[in-house]
Amino acid sequence: MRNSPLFICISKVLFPFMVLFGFYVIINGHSSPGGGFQGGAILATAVLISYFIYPEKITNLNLLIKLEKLSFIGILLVSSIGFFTKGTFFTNFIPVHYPIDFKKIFLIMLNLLIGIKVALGFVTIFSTFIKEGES
Amino acid sequence: MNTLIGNMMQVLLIITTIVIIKSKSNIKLVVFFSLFSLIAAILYYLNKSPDVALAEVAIGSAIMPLIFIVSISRQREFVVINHTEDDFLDNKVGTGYNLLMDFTKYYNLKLRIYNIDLNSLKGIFRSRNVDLIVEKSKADGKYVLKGKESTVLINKLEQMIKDIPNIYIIKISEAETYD
Repeated sequence: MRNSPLFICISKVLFPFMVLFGFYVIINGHSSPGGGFQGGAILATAVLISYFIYPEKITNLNLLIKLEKLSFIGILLVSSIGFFTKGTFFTNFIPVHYPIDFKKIFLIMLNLLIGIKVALGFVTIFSTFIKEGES
Repeated sequence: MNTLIGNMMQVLLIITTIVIIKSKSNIKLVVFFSLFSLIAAILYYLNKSPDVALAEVAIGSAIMPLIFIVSISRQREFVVINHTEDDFLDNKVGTGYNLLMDFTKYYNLKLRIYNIDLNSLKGIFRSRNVDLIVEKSKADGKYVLKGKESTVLINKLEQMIKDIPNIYIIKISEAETYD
């Protein structure tokens, strides 16, 4: 696909800011609007814009799908750490009497994993959509 | 102040929706769809749900238009209907065939030429998306290319055939029929 140089130039300028804002939304998801899904969608938009700049960049789709599955396993593992510390699944693994700065580590970890999973999922959907027409 | 902006945005939302329904051009439709999502996100924010607004901005106004634009620009086939009786569009011989071949190769399209006359054009084929009709005008013997006005491809084709003497182009707006 051919793109205009103006579009490519603007995308190159915007790309790092979009990635930064995506990670900002993910990491501050526990205390401000946003979270894993929203930040992941913003990250996916950034990656998709980079797809327009360098069309040959994303080649290995199977690696993306594998990484997405690994992040899903990571979500399950993080949420089941609580079984070993507290005895129940799907709860915060840090004990209740700890200060709140420690307890938010759990939320940040889950948000990061969910964000990575959503971003990879969107990129995979979009890449298969683009590659479908090519024989 | 907030209610004023909210009311204005609601009116704008309705206007944008009507424009989306009424618009004929595909690219324009995608741009207005993106605008619709932005206004909806502003409304979500004013109604105290910034979480939903972020998701709406990211998905509704960035990813969905991207997918639509890619699917529009990745239209695979370039359907041409041949109404000339001579070898203008013959395989490997005619000048028109070479011209269209260069044109479609430039855009990564697949050229498909149908040799049928006007009267047999009916049934399923009628509703199909025809991109170009090639005719030979009876008055001066020049070749006429008829295409839709709204597509971007026709403008490019017009530039390509600018310096070829015996071909000219007619742009038809979407509502008219082809013959």
